[in-house]
Amino acid sequence: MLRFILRRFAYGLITLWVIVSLTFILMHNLPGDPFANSEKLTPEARAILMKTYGLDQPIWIQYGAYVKKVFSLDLGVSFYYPTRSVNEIIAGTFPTSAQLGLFAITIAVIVGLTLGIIAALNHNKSWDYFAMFTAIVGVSVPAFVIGPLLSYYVGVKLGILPPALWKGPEYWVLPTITLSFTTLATMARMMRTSMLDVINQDYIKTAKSKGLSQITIVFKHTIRNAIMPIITILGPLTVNIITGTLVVEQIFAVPGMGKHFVQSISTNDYTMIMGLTIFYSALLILAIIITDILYGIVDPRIRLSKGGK
Amino acid sequence: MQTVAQEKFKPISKDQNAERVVRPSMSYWADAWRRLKKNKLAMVGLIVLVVLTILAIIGPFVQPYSYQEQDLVARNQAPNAQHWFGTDDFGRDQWVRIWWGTRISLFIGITAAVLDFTIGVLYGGISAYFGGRVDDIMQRFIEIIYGIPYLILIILLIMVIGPGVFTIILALATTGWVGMARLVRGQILSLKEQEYVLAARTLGASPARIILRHLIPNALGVIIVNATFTVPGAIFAEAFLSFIGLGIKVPLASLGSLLNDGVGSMRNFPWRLIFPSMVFSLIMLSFNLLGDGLRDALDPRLRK
Repeated sequence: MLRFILRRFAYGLITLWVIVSLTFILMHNLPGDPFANSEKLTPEARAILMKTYGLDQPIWIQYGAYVKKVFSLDLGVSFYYPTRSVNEIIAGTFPTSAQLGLFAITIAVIVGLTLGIIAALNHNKSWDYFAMFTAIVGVSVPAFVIGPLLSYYVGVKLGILPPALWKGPEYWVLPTITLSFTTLATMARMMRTSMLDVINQDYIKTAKSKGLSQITIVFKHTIRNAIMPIITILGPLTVNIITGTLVVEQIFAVPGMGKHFVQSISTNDYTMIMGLTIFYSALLILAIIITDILYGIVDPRIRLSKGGK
Repeated sequence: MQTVAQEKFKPISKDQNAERVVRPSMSYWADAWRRLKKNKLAMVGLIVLVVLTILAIIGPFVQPYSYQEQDLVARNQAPNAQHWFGTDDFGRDQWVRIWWGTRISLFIGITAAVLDFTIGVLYGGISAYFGGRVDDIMQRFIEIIYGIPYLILIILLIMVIGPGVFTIILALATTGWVGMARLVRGQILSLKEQEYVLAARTLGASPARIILRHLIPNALGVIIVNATFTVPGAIFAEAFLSFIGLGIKVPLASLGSLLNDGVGSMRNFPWRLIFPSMVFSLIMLSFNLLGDGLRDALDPRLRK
């Protein structure tokens, strides 16, 4: 098991290195430079600025310096806000994004699993159709349509909840719903299929013929076995939630990392884009590794087959 | 006791074939199609998709406007006889723009799915068939690519190459094939131990022939189902990019950029949001319903 975990982390690091290199190469082929927009700069001042940021060095020296800095966890100083480092900006905005993401995942897991379980236990009855209809709408209608509609109708027209910003519990509701909707729907669909698979297994028949109560069968036998395949999609779903924050923070004006990322793209803020890309990637890679490890712990079959290889 | 007539015990004459199969034999695909036809939701999805595709092809020609033609007198009109879906800020006809956008969105979705399919099937097939060291190296490469979040790669590519249909397709294809390759590899690993592969190899069939003619056709069901879900994924990715301002640039329209415009003018001109979201959601919904139906029809595990 330890070998498995170490191997996954090693691959994570290689992937991260590929991403760091890719980001670097792509950024250096970008048209324009970060000082192109400020016309007041004299050529001399420009040269000094280029020198401060090391942009006059040959490209491989810049690359080497960058990789060294990234792996010592220093993402540089923002071009756009020269007084703030990318680390500071991440430290300032990430907690908000993380809070939003965690709320959304929690809601998606709890509500999604419940919907899926209810649907499977009432297979082909009206509850099943209701749950699956909600789920398929959730998969088909994107957050950037649901978000503005919720913000306008619930927030502005009805005035029940604040339509934007992130200042207290009542502000959390609409962004969380918007962000969790797609994930919730995917979750419900997967859980239903998985439950139906398990219900038809022989050991459920055995449990029934032993005379176990319905509740024991559902909670101890069906759900516990059905939840296993769900763990494999938790990784990709977390990825969805993290990228989803980009859109949701934009819609509800949540002061998180996603807003900064989108903004840094339009201002050509090199270090910021690179830093945030790498941070996002590290986060996503970590999410996938954790899912793999969790799955290895929960399902001994996977652990054995991977360990034997 | 009942007496049974003696003539009922006549032996069948030799010239009649007792083993003749009376009903026509059903191929895997005919059987799958029969089961898909029974699935009402999937058929609705298929019909809606066909209708939307036809509209995307002929829709822009029905009206005398082009997608970029501005008419500053007829700005922000509600749906009416001249402009069936109304007009936008610049007096551009929304009907034409929506079907033009549907065209682009469908094109992106289908091209991305075809590329994923081609690369993924070949990569997965080769990796699984040869096994051993080849498989090891190819799988290590996949593990590295798999960790790269595709939206981030797309965003970087777009900033370098510039936004456009081609960039989006390229970016989707660079990362999208990995899932398909993993799926195909898994399928082929289990198929290649079957006797008919051994038989083919004994008869001297080349690896390319065995992979392309024997293994992949047998895994095709699962592959097609996966491809069906790739299309809405790609369409969604395009819309997402347009929404954060990195997608198709004006005057060209995609469903994503129309949605983005619609959200901005939702309060005063709600129809500008309603029509694109309806078309967008219908496409996503239909592909999902069709994909579900295909999975039920093609997945051998669910056969009763």
